[in-house]
Amino acid sequence: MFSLNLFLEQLINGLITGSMYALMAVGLSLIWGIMDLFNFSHGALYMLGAYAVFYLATALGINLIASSFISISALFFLGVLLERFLIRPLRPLQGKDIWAWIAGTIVVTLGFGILAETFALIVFGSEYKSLPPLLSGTVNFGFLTLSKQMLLSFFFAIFLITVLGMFLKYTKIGIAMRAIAQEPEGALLMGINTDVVFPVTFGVCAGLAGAAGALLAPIYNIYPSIGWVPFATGFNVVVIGGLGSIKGSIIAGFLLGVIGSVSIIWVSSGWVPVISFGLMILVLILRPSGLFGVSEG
Amino acid sequence: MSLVPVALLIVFPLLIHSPYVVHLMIMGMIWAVVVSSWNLVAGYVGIFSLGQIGFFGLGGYTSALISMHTGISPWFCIVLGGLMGGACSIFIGIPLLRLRGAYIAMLTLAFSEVVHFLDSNLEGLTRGEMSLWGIPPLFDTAEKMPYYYTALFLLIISIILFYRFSKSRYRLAATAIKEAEHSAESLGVNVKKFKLGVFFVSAFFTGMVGGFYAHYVLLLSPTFLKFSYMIDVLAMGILGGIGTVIGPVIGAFLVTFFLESFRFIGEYRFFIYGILLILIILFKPQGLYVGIVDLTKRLDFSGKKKMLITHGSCR
Repeated sequence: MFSLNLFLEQLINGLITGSMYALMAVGLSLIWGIMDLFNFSHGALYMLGAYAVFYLATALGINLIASSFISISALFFLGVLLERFLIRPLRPLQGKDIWAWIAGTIVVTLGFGILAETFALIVFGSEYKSLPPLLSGTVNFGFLTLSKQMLLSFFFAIFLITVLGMFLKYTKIGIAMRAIAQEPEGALLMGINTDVVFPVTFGVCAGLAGAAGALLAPIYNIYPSIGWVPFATGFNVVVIGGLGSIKGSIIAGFLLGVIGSVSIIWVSSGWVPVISFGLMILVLILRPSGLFGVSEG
Repeated sequence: MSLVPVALLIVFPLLIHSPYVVHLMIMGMIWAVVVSSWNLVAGYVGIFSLGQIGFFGLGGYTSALISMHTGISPWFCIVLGGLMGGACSIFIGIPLLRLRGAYIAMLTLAFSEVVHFLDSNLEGLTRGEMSLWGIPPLFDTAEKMPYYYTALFLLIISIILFYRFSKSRYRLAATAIKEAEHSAESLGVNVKKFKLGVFFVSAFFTGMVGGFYAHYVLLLSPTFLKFSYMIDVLAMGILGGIGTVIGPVIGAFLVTFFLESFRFIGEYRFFIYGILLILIILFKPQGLYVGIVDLTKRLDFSGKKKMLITHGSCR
């Protein structure tokens, strides 16, 4: 049965999950646009972010918001290291042998993903861990009720995306990042040092993945393979929105969040991945540069 | 020279009687065909596909379902499974022609995931997560020997075909496409037809061996379409050596036996797996086979022989 209340409730829920999708996708998109690689370890970074928050909050008893920030900065440094030791050695291939560059970056990031997941399995164990939320209870807006924790995560995601936007727009390194995305050779000729910009880019993106993990840690259970679903969703979002386009990732993130949560009014939730992957294939066929991407393909 | 490993594979089950080891060999051969066909598109033509497991599953389910519902001989259904894989490869291959680089990896991965999730959702057809059982076996015996020789037969025909391909002028066309697509096209290679053809052959063999797998293990579930199996295919190909005929076969056997024999160290084995993938890409991206060939070259001090090997190596 169709009811307007249910529809509105799912719409709001969709917007909230959409903010998480956008957070995942923005990182993937940024790495793609600036570093010209697709990061298959994004889901593993998400998982590490969630575990970091969990242990900071439970074992050390640090406040949830503070531990989120610590976990985001820890992931930033991990990202810097990953760029330095996994991606930079492959960099010479980029101009020479494009196939080896694509295959190499996919396999190396995937390899790190497996490594991180197994590490979590061995060190943290396979059992589900759950974190008590910072805010419990719900808020009532007349016809719909929302959990406070979800709302908090939503606003935190919006806050992070805004900060990222400001960073890209106003800081010197942010401008350098955009310059490389727009015109790699021109940027190099202007004296932009990729040995600084690339690690920072990877770090920022790892931090964003970690942030998504940290925000969802108090809402969902945490386990070693937790990263694959958000990775797959971020992957859908980033292709639909247009690889390399931040705006596209944000809009497509909300779009996919809403489509996912509204569609479960009619179909079982098992169909949601079919819908989003199907949509992604459709976009790749009809408009490979994505809904908001710069046509380049 | 190349007959020695074939002869060894033929006498293998006569010498080793353990059904367990024979089973591992069969799985190794199944993977060897899948990885070799993946190598055909990824290694030679440079289409970095992440959807090989989708064709494998499609072939398996098609073959199993047709033989269950119509009673047609599983032998014929295996070929139908291959054709289904091939047909879907054309379906996904046409939009693929317009894409390049990492977009190809994305589209093929999305295709394989759609197959995976359709499979787990269409419970009326595939029984979803409850898994499909009651698949008619290829042979009316619990013995593994007939399956072993069937798998060996499939492996040998596919290897012969891929070997012939690597020695033919098509190989030159493939290399041209991989390295400079537009130049290849301007020099008269029909890039679209060529890519679709190779993609079809690759998916056909994968689908067929998927059908064989279904009628061998007699149980199919969506788990087998998971992306983690595509990671296995990648690892096997990269470990053995992409762009060589023998490399993927070596990789398939190595990884199959590695994963199995290190079962006792539990999850640590995937840890080693991840490290190995990273190290190979960073230090020996051509894979083990080329690594071994290089090593024998380096160990060989007589200049005359050295020349011979450099001329006749993995090309």
